[in-house]
Amino acid sequence: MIFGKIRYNGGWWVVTCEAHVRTKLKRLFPQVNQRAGETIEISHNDENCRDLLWFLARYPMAAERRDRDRLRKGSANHVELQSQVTALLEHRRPPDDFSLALPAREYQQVAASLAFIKSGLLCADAVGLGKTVTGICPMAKADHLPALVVTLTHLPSQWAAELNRFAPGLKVHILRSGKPYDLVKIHQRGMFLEDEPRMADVIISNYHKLHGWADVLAGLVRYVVFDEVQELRHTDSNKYAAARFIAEKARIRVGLSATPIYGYGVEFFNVIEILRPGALGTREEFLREWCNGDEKKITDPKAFGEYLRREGIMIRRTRKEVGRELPPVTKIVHIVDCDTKELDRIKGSAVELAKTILAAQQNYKGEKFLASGKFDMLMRQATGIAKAPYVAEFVRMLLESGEKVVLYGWHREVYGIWLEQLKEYKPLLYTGSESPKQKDEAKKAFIEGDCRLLIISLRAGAGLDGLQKVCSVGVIGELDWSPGVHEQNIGRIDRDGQPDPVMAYILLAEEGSDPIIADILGIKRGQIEGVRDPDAELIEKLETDPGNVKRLAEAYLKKVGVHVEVPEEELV
Amino acid sequence: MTLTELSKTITRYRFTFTSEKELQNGIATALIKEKIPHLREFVLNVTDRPDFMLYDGIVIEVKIKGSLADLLRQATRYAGYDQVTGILVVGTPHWLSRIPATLAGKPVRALRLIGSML
Repeated sequence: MIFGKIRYNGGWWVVTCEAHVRTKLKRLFPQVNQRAGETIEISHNDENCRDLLWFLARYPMAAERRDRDRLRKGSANHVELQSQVTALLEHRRPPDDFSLALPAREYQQVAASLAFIKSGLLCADAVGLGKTVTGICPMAKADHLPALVVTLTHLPSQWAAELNRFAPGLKVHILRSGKPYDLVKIHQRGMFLEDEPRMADVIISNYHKLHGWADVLAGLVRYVVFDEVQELRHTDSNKYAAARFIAEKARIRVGLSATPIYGYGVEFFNVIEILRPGALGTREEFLREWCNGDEKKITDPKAFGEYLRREGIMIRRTRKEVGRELPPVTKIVHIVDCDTKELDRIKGSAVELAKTILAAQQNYKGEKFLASGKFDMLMRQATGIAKAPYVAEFVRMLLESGEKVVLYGWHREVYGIWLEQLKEYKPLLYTGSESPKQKDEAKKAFIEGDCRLLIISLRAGAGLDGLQKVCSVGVIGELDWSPGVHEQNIGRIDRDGQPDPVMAYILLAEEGSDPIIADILGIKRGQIEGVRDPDAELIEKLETDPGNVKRLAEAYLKKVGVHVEVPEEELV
Repeated sequence: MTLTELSKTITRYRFTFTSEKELQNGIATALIKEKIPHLREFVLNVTDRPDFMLYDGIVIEVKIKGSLADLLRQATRYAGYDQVTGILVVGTPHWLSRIPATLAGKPVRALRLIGSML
């Protein structure tokens, strides 16, 4: 008995069948368009081939031989790769052997092997677990060279240093400008060639230079590493288009980031589309299957996370899972005062902007967008300034107890207040305005010199390594809209090489934008954590009691010689 | 146990949740760890079922979305029952701070789980 027919058409499987079978098919494939129609279309990938073949066993349909072969091939491919993935993850087969100058850890090799099997992988191991080495592993095989490393603007030199440690035999080149130039430059002195002209084995670029280089690099590089891959969470940029173009033509693509998204779940689609094109179907299919029609939020983040792992699309290990636990991070949310004068000052313009944002009329659309941006800036800056003096005093307390401190902020005006109030501790800036060289110097002064306070911009620090050797106290002095950013920032000091328990203070004002941002952070946190760690414990007991900050204050007062009676029960 | 003690106890935990149900499960786990006897989804009436009922008449209502007005209506209904001696609202919305200290003569406390949100 034949229930209909199926054919392949330009990347899609088109099914034309009896109405009741159509209903069944729609139920079994939630990603397909659920509207009424004669045909059903499902995008082509190995997983869908396998599922369709299974469906056809129950409801046989006519198909051309060519299409049948394609289905069988895709399905067989999925079976084969899936069994390899499972064997690897269940430790039934050893990871591939990558010979590096310093041996990679087993879990790093496992991730790199997984990237081979499926030609692409999102490695979301916890911050500071050594994802860089995972990214270097595949470079040990000559047929993956030349390789391309794409990273944040402040990190190429850190990557070059790591490559030099783990694979000193490789020739590394950091792209110098956004405009393409000859990569195989002939150094000639007089009549003699200085050395044999040779193409670099590893090319390191930042995300912004990618656009100019896309045409040169696409097809040239065989292996691409996207470091801090959350940079590709939005599709509407030149760097995304360039990354996609280069990635499609490479043999293997690896994305590294402990925080692969900063906002809502749909960003996962954008990131995975680069690393494993087509694996999640089309964007529309993804939204229908996982977001329940919602435009950005994944309905069941845990189920999605389990799926990603099972399919070998993403791998994520926590410190505990790989047996490299550090002393736990103590996260302390502390409410600081704020100077409401600053918030009152902007009241007039803020009210106007808020009115525009909330206006119902359609014709305000463009204005609304602008107003939202302005409002966000105005409120956040005012909040930042309003609490800046109190944040500075809090940080002074920490500095006085002899610690080195990293302090995170966002606005120049706020940095200004901090720099002024804490100048005796020789604070240095590490923000978007400093050149890579100045940043390196600031980092050095903080690690080796007498700078005791490093002020880092919330979004400038991702991936930065080395601070953990001298500092175990981080303070988030202004909030970001994304929980991933806070995690990245705490990860600067909570990473391999940290000898002490880490204290992370998040300073919150009860006025201004902080309360609202905290709300949004709660929602976004559920999205990323659900996907990454579906089996996470529902609760964790906080290591210290809320009286910790009071104790700190008491110690500080004692040090500066002010005596205040503190009742004992107040400290609990 | 007073409302203040109860909210202090809950503050000592950090919860991971993607839905109200998961937060409830988390709070239940915390209550069990702290050896605080409680009943879940306690039936006061067909329409009124607080998320938790403690042995001494304190009810806990968990909220991660919705509006202040809805919550106040709900809490006022709970406060009308003789068995209920106090109400603790636990959750994330920013309006939790605007909850009045008493409703229908019963003490009310709100606990915003800021530590679990950041």
